[in-house]
Amino acid sequence: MLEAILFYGFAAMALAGAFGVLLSRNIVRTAVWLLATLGAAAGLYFLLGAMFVGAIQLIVYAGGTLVLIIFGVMLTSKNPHMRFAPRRAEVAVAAVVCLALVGLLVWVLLHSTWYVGPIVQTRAQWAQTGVNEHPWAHDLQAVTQFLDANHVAIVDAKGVPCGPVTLAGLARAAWYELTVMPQGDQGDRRQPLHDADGKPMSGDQLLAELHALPPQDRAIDDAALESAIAALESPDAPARTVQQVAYACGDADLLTDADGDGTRNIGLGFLGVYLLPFEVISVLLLAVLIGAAYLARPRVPASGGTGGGR
Amino acid sequence: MVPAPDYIPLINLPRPIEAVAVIAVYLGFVSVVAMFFIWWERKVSAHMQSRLGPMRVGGWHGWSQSLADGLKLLSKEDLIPDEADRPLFRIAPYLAFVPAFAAFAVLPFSAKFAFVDVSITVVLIFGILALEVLGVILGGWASNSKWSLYGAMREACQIVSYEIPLGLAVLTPVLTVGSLSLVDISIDQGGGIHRWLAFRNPFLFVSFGVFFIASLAANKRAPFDLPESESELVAGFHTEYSGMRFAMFFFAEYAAMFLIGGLAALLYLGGWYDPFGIVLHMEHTPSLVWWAALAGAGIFVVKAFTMVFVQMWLRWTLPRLRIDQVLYMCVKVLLPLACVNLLGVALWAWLFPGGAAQLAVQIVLTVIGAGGAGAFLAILVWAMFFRGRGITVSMLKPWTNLLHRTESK
Amino acid sequence: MNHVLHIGLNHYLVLAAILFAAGLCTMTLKRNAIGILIGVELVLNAANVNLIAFSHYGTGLIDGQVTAIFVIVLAAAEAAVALAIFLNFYNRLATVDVDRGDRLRG
Repeated sequence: MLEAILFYGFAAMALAGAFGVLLSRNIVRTAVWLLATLGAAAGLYFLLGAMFVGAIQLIVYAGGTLVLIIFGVMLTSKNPHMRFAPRRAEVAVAAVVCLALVGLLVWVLLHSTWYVGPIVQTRAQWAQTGVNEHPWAHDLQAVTQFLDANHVAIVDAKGVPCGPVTLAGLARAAWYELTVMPQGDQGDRRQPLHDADGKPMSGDQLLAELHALPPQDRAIDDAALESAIAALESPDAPARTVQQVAYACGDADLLTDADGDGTRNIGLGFLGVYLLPFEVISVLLLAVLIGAAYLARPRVPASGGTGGGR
Repeated sequence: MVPAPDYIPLINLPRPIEAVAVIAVYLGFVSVVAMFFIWWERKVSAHMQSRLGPMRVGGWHGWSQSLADGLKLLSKEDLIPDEADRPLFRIAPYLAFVPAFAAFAVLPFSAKFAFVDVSITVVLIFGILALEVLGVILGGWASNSKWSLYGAMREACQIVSYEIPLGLAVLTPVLTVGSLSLVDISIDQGGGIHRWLAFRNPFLFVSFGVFFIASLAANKRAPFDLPESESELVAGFHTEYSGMRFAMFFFAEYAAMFLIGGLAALLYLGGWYDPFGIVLHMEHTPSLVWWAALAGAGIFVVKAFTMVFVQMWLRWTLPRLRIDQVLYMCVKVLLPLACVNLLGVALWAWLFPGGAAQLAVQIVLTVIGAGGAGAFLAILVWAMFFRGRGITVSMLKPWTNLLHRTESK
Repeated sequence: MNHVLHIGLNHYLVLAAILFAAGLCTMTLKRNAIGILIGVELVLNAANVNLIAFSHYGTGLIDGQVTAIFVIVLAAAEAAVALAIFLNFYNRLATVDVDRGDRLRG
C-alpha cells in the first residue's frame, strides 16, 4: 500500500516534470522541470532498493549535470526570457508521432511476458540455465538441497520466505563471481537465516550442520568445507549471511567482503566483472575533460581574417 | 565491523505517527539551532571586533534577537521585482531550504539516535546537499538583477568545482573504515582520541584540512563567500529577496553550517565519542546503553558547535578571496592534495595494517593535533575570560607594535 | 484493482515509456540547443528507470544498477561536451537556435 502511494507520487512527479519540459517555452523553467523528473527518478530508485544509484543520481545528475545545463543557459541567453516557438505543423507531427510511439510501446510492454520474480523456480529449470556447469554450482546445489531437506527457509526482513529466489540468485551470483542483492521490499537489509522454528540461524551453524552430513550426501569436499568454516570463524567475519555461506562453499577469500549489501556488490562489480567497461569509461571521461576544455577555451578574436590558426 | 544498529523506537506509537513525531522534533531542533547560530554569529563577530553585539532583546545578552528578527522578517512585505521570473523567484528559497533541512534526516547523533537505517548515509547526505545549490542559482537567475546573476554564476562555478575535492576527501575515511555508513565510521573511532580518524595517519590529517576547506567553499562561507559578497555584489544571489524568503536562504546556510560541522565531527573527529573512551565503555555496559546514547549525542553536538565556531571565526578573520584565487585553490591545490591523500591512505592501509608503527604515528599526530588545538583553545579562553574584553585588537598590540617598529626602520 | 495497488515491473516500464516519448518529443520540438540536451537527459532517465526496474524485478543482480551508474556518468560527460559545443555555436552565431546552424547547406 505504502509502496503504491510512493510509486504513484513519484511517477506523477516524474510525468509532471517530463510534460513541463515538453511544454515549457522558457529554457530555465525547462531545466527546473527536469529537476522534478530527476528527483522523482531518484525516488523511484530508492523505492526499488537501488540506494546507491539514487544517491549518485542526486549528486551527479541533479547537482552536477543540471547545474552545468543552467550554467550553459546563463552563458548563452542574452535576454532572460528567451523563447523559441516551434511551428504549428512541427508540433502536430511531433505530437502524432510521439503519441503513436507511447501507444506502441505500452501495447508491446503490456503484451510481452517479462520474467518477473524468481529466475529459476524449479530445480529442473535451474539445470537448464547451464549454471550446473560452473564448478561452484555443485556446492550451491548442496546448500539448496540441504536447506530443502531441513525445511530451512530464508526469510526477508518482514519474515516472508523468499527461498528459491535468493538461492537461484546465488547460483547466478556464483556464475558471475558476484554476490547477489537481497530481494524483497527491503532491498538493502541483511537477511538473517532462519531455521524451521523461526529462530535466526548463523552461517557457521548452517555450515556445521552441513559438515555433519555424511560425505556421500553432499557435493562439497571436506577441504572446501574446512576452509569455509575457518573463514567464517575468523574474527574479521562480519554478520553471517546466506551469501557468505555460498561464498564459503566457493571461495573463502571473498567471504569477508560479502555481507549482503547492494552497494558493496556494486563496488565489487566495478573492480570485478565490470572492470573493463569501468576503465574504458574512465579513459572516455579523461578525453571528455580535455575535449571540453579545448572546445570551451576563450578564443582570441580573429584579426586579419584568416582564422587558419584553428 | 559492528553492524549499523537497528531502528530504535523512541516511544511506542504506530510507525507513521512516530515518523511524524521524529520529523517534528528534528525540524524544531534544526530551526532552533539555526536561529541560535544567527545570534551566536552576531555575538562572535561583535566580540572579535571589540563590540558587544545584540544586548537588549530578551534580556540576557540579547538572546532572543533572532526571534525578534524572525518576527520582523515575517511581517515584512514580500517584494518581487517587476522583471523577475515570478514562479522561479518564489520556489528558489524552498529549493535551498528543503535540502539543507532534509539532510539532517540521515545525520546520526549517536549510535541510538540514527533515524534512517541505510548503509550509504555518506553518499546520501552529499546527494541531498547537492540540491541546495540549485535554489541559489535559480534565485539569482530569477531575480533578473545583474548582482544576483553574478552571485548565482559564482555559486555554480564554485560548487561544481569544490564538490570534487570534497568528495575525494570524504572517500579517505570511507576507505579507512570500509563503510559508507556514518554510524559505522563513527563506531570505528570509539575508544580514545588516538582512534579519531583525523589522527590515524598523516594523510587523513591532511585530508581533514582539505575536507574542511572544501566544505567551507561548498557552503559559501567566508573566505569563500563570493556568491553573496556584500561589498561587491550587495548581497549576491539574495539581493532582491525580502521577508521570509530571505530568511529561508539564511536558515539554509546556518543549518548547513551545523551539518558540515557535524560531518567533520563524524568523519574525522571521533563522532560521538569522547577523547578518553568513556562513552565506548558505557556503550558496552548494557545498563548504561541509553545514557551512552544521550552522552554521545551531547558530545556530538558540542563537537559540531565547535566546528561551527571555527567557521564563524574564520569568517571574521580572513579576507574574501577573488574568484580566480578560489578556482586556483580548488584545481591546483585541493584537488591534487585530495588525490594524493586518497592514494596515501590506501597505501598506508596496505603498508601498516596495525602494530607498533601505526600506534606511534597515531600518538604523535594526536599530540600534534589535539595539543595544538587544546593550546589554542586555552589561549582563547584566557583571552575571553581573563583579559576582560574578549579577543580584542589590543591583545595583539605587542605584536602590531613590533610590526610597526620594524616597518618604520 | 490488484494491478493498481500491487506495483510490478509493468508500472515502471509504462512510466519509462511515457518519459521516453516525452523526451523524444522535446528533442524534436525544441529549437533551443540546450532544450534538446534536456530532452536527451529525459530519454536517458527513462532508460535508467527501465534498467533499475529490470534489475530489481528481473534478475535480482546488480547488472542493471551498474549500467545505470555508467549511464549517469556518461550523461554528465555528454552534457559537458554538448555545452562546450553550444558555447562555440553561440560565439559564432550569437544564438542557440539550432535551425540557424545551417551554414554548411549548399
